[in-house]
Amino acid sequence: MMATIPIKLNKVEVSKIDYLVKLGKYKSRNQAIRSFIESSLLQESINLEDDNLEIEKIKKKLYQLWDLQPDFNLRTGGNKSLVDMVSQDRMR
Amino acid sequence: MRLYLDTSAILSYYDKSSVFFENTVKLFHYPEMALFSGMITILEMESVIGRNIDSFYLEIDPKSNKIYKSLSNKEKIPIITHYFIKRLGISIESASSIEKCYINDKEYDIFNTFSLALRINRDMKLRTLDAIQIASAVEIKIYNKIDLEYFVTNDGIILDRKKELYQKSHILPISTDELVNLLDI
Repeated sequence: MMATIPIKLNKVEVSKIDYLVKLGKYKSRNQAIRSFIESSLLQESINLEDDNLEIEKIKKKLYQLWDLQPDFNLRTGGNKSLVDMVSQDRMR
Repeated sequence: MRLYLDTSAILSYYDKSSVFFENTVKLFHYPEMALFSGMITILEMESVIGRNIDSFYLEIDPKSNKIYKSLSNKEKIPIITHYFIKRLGISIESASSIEKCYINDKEYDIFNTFSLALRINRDMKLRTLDAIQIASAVEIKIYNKIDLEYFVTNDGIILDRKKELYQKSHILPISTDELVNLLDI
């Protein structure tokens, strides 16, 4: 599934891309930009599936530990409770 | 007893800084309480927790605290919100159907929660989220056929209009303090 993402480039960047297209290195601006992005992303070690599984494991572990606690509370740092914050948000 | 919980009621249970904390804990620990809420509550809780996540701290054991602190804020928000729901055993009821709505001769599909909120609000002129929460409770009672006895909230603005809201929705808004007194807990 493709998504269209508008980006802003300055004149120099656009000129360089057009030059590469003119040389025949890429068929179009679109192809050139996609190629640059793909090669950059390959250098980032991202595995989206692994990240989600990892978070699910952490969540499960936290819930197991929290279930063992007789109390599970929070304290707000300032003068307002979370209830005050909800009410304030509803005023917006 | 079947109760619909507004966001403020749920957060009163966990927030030790809240004046409602003690009675809310007594109420939710009372035997045979069946607790319900709507999807809008998840959105509202994530919003409030997310926007204030740096200003509160969880009173949790050191081991889980270490794990919790390793998470980003984006990861913490749904983990805390979903745990708040899970720990209390709250049943989240989703919109039961899509209805047609007409605006400027154009037809739109909307969840019946929003359709109900529009109808309630033309008379009541509530804040937007109040209207959606009330509509969510009405929807659960009428469409999902769960006989809710009270709409539990600690929001003063809703409670000030409880008689009108009861006439309109047939569910009585009540605070956790009032319900504790009523049940003599």
